[in-house]
Amino acid sequence: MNWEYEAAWLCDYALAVVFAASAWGKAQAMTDMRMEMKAYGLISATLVPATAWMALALEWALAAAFAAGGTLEGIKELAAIVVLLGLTGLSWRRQRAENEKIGAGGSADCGCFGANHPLSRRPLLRNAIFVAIAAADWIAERPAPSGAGFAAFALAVASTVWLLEAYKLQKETGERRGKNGRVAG
Amino acid sequence: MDALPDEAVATLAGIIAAWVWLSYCRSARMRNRMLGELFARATAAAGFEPEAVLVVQPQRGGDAPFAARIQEAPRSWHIVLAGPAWLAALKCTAWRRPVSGIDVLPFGKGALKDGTYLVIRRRRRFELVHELPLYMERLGSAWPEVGAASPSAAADAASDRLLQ
Repeated sequence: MNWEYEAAWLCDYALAVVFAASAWGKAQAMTDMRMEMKAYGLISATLVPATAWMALALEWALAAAFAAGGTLEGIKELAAIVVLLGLTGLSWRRQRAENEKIGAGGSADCGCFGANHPLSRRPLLRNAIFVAIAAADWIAERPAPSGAGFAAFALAVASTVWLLEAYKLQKETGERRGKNGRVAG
Repeated sequence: MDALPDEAVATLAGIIAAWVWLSYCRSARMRNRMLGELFARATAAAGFEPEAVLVVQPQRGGDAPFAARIQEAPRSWHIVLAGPAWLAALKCTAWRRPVSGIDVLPFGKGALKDGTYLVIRRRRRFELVHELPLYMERLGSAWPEVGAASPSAAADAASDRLLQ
């Protein structure tokens, strides 16, 4: 077993999941996404809808690039780092502005994966971890996957994204099994 | 991974993916059913079919600036205050529009019972909006579309009946 290959695959997997989950969440809540972009205060209101679609397309493209394994080496990792650092800066700026507006203790969640999504928690720490993963992925080498290997990898990414979404939906409706086995809610 | 051929791993991944997809679809259907039930109850309480339902939590201090804008919300929306009926009746006068209590919410527990959000009906599906302060600020502007429409006659009549 080559540990460098395994580590590179794990990094690709983590980054594919994070970008696909983010794009999936945003596609489900385009209005929230537009409002978030408006809140950043960098673009005029008329440009917000088009920019939202472009950001969504960029996230899907990054998710596809990481899910495809050994393609676009060096480019996708650099793009991921730029996107993550940019979003971290914007999230931090907005959080600071909101804290100033309403006093201490503004929301610590970003809602960038959709409200109530497990990955929406602690956005600054989360993005720092994914920047580190993207940097590690840049260094690590891996072989190009076979056809069936690629399919298995892409299906694993899709399964994780759907699992996180199902968790979010169950959290929203209170559909969770209690200790006594009954469905609550 | 080395012990199994790639084809076997891909087949296994396909089976797991199909199972997870079905689980996701089941959860999505359940949420849709509950949101449909929310609209049905809101329609019964308001006397007209609302374009959107706004769910507000009474105890959130952070929502105060947004709460001040509720009376500017389109009359084609229905407001649900996740609190007792007497508090909803008080808010009904303050916001000058029909307000329902927590009994309209079909969620026994979960984030949709405890959160402040807007549910917009888009034919057979629903969209949830959580960025409410910004959304309310933009009501009546070119985008988003909801909130720009003039209030329906049914919504007007229901409001007038209730506020008399």
